[in-house]
Amino acid sequence: MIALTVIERELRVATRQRWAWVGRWLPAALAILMFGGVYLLYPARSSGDFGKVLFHSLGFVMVLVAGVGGMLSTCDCLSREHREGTLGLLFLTELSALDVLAGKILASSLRLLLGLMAVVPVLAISFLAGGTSLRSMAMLVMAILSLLWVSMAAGVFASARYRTAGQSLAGAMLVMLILCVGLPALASINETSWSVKWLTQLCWLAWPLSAYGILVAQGPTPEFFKTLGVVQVVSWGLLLLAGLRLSGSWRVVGDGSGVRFRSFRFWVAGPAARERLKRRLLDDTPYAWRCCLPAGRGRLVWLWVGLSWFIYVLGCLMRPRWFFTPESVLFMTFCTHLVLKVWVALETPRVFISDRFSGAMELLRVSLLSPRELVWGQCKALVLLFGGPVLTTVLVEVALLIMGPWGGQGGAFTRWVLFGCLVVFVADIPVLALFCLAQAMRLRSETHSITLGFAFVMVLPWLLFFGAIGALTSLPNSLSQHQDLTLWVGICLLVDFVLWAWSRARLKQPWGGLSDPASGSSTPAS
Amino acid sequence: MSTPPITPPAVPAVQTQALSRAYGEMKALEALDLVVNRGDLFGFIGSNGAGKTTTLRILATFLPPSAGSAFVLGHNVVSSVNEVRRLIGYMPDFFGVYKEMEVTEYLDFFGACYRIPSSKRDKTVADVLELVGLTEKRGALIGALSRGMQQRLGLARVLIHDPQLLLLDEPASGLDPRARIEMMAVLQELQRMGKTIIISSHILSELQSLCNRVAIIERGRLIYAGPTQGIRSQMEQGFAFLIAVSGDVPAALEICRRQPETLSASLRDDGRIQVRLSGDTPDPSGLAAALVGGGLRLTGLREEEVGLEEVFMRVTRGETQ
Repeated sequence: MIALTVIERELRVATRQRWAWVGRWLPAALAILMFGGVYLLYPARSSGDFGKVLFHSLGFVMVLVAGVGGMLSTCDCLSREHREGTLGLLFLTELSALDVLAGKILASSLRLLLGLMAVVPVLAISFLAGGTSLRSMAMLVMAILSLLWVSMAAGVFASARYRTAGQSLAGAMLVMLILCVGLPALASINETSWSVKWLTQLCWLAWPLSAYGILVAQGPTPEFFKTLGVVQVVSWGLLLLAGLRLSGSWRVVGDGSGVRFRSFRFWVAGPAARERLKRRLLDDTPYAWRCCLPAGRGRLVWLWVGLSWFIYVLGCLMRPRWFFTPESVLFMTFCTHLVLKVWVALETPRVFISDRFSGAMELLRVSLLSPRELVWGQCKALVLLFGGPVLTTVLVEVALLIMGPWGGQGGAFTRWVLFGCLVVFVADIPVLALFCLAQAMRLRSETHSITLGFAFVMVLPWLLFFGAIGALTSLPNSLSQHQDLTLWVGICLLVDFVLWAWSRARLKQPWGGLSDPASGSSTPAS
Repeated sequence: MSTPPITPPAVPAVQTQALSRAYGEMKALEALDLVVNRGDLFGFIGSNGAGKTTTLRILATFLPPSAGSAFVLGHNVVSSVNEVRRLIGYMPDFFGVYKEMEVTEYLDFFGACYRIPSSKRDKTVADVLELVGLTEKRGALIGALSRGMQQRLGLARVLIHDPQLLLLDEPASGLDPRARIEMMAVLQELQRMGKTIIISSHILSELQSLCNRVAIIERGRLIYAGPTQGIRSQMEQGFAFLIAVSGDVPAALEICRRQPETLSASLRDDGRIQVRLSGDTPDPSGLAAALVGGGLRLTGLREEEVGLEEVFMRVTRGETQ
């Protein structure tokens, strides 16, 4: 089988990576840690109860890891080959698109599979403790594998479509968002508006989390296997599209995109405005101008934020009963914050890492620009791109805080939640940018920088919050809603502060072997 | 009686003293002592991994040395980074271009990086584009340029802040013959303009005709540094002549070996005899007379042309780090 050639190559590369080793014991270690946490914190009445809690906790984490990890492991597998110009070399051999896809998926999935397999023995404790049946365990593994497969297919699909790591990651996230959020939303809309029965059924069956949901809610049912089948069809559909895209696109290399880009840039920015901005930035912070390229991205952020709030305000005016409610405000806020944070994280390391790969960073480092000016240039570009939209979002939300629909039952608390979200959002955005920038200096992979940014700024506070809540539930007096909210905001701000301090310290350190003209000193590279 | 003012000796463009650089256990450079005079077009020759790029990167302040010191026009590359960066133009062995930028935008950007005021940048960009022959491509996207043109654009970038010393790492690699010749012509023009140029290249035949001084480096150690013309006499033991005779070739070889000025004589695969003679200006007439006197018919006698490539092959062993 010729695909084995690609698999072998990929595995050889993977074995040389540090994470290949860490990825085997770290999940097992975390699972054991979680087992200890559940054992210590959960006041179980019987071993069966304890097993059940362990089964559901570990299952939830594994589902999360499979859903996110699969996408992350494959989202840059083909786009990277595209960028490095090695994809064409593969196709000049006897390999077909299917071989390349199979090789890439199998090689990318192996590390994650090994990691998940390392957790299974800990999961088996829940069976031994009498918390679950062998059948449920097997079904959980099947549900996880199914989710992993669709997540990886989404990553491969995006990777075949885009060339940069950031775009691929964003594309994969979009596909997963459509599958995980869009399908249930479509089912709900269909139920309330059109009532097409088969569409609702199809949406729920194609939902990647359906199998896990069925297992948790109802236990083993025939629907479980149906949903596995439909999710497989979706996955293979994505892979087929990726294959078609791949076999047609690898020949298109060179300057076509540049020509398209130029006309787009001209259309979006306009020559006079662009020239003025360019002059101003070049005289002030040259690297900021470079980081603002390609032009037009700032307007896209504006377009998205403006359109979102415009639709929302329009909805409030036309259907206030639907839109002008505490829940809708909170949902809108959550979506806007999430998209803006993701956008900032995607944008921050893009130029740095691209310049490091192209060698342009080396040229900049021997110019008169100091490392501080390079970092400042990138920060300034981010302010130019996101400053206005973020400020607008904050102002709109402040206005909603003052004039929002907070009169009804639970409205007052939702108002506090919105306030808390706003505080965390304002703190998160600069920290996310700074942290991703510091990662971009340290790592050579855009995907890793972005993932670490998400993990530390957006996921870690939640884990700490849930850990704290878990620990505090064993206390005699449980926390009130407001105390929960305060705890969450406090944890978020604390994490932000720590990450901000770390990032600042990291950015002040000399880059490997880089001489700083400002200080007139240089540090030997290790 | 007034004493005439003492003129200080001209500061060399580049001077390294026991310059060393190690990457972990591996020594990329070992005690390199090198002097490049102002106005030199200096060829830097060595196998892959010999230490050429490391030397250039240290001189470009991109890489700090592990030991020793390096000076560019009198400025230490470690302690006077800013001054050195103003004086040098560094062109690495890769393009490092932004393919999505236009040619003028690219140069404008790097002009700004070198803090050239915006009032002067337009003219500077136009001047360097004219110098490298890219004026017609000023509005083109870099991604749409050919490899040769991108290389010329790289040279234009190097010249944007009018440096006195150019450090060019493999500037002609991957170029077609025409582009290479054009690139060399530009370099000669730059030398005439008073720039000092250090050029590392594998195309030794071109360096031979282009450079007035060369240095050969292997395994991080300097093997030779001096005038291009003197390399043969310094690196080779004596001058070599090729002799062709009709008749008894072994007898002719024996006669050659017996001559007092002969250092060595050997028979080549093509039937000709290669003879090395001692002395700075050896005269092969005595040898010719001996051969004719020995009853042999001399059909050819000429000095063997020893190129830079041959010298390089003889003095190096192709060893890399």
